[in-house]
Amino acid sequence: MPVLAYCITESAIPIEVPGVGVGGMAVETLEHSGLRCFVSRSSSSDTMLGPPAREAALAFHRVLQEIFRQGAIIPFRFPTVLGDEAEMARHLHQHAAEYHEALGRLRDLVQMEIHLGLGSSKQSLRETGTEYLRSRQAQQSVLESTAGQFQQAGKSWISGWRQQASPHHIRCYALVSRGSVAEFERALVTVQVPSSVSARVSGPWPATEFVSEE
Amino acid sequence: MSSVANKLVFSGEDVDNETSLLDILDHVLNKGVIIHGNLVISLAGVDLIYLGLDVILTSVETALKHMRIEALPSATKQ
Repeated sequence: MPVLAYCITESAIPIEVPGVGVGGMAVETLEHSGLRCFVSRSSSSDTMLGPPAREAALAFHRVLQEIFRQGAIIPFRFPTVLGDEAEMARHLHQHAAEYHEALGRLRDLVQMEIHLGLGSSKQSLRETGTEYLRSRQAQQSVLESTAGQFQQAGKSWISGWRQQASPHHIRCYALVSRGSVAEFERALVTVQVPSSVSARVSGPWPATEFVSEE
Repeated sequence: MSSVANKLVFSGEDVDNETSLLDILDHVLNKGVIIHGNLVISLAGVDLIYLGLDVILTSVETALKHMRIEALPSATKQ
């Protein structure tokens, strides 16, 4: 029977199982190799993938949040559907060491995210290619500098920091203790964000960016 | 809940808030474990189909669209 996988926790951590999952299905647990995997079983994949995508994704999120409030989780992306319970057991067995290491390391930590973006800049028709590239470089520098200020402002609460840059955005991921989220957010408010930059903080999220130690 | 301080916006869990909703969907669809491999599933009106799980996880909208119409590449049909 196909199983829709939500997330993995350590078996040793007591977790109250959410009542209802995607498509109204029951949420159940599978335990293997000292890990607990939260799943929904259905004889038909229709139940798992049938509801409108947005509603199904939000139901999936609600299950994750309910479990995440109780402890560290490693979520699966939605929709991860495995052929049967044995397939999930094989996956847990193969990756047990990695999952145990990550869940142990991230047990009391959550991920806070800071999204930094640039407003739309109008390129002058008279601007040369070189000028355009210099302007882009300057904008990127402003974003990186702002990211650095946020990291500095929150450093007392940050136990891990990662950044991903794209042409007009930087995403910063801060690993913060569960109990320090409010203080971390208050520290961020002290940063003076440049007028050309938009800054948005979201979280706490499961620490997906820190599952791997690389 | 959203608030603004020094242009810093805090995005909450309110799914009626568009920004929060996008954050949630971004996380659900783009963050987390990816299991690579193939899977056999059945969908209404369509026989067993093999799908690469890494493909299905890339975009649920696209995946569902491809599952509901006959747009699956012939190589993926059993």
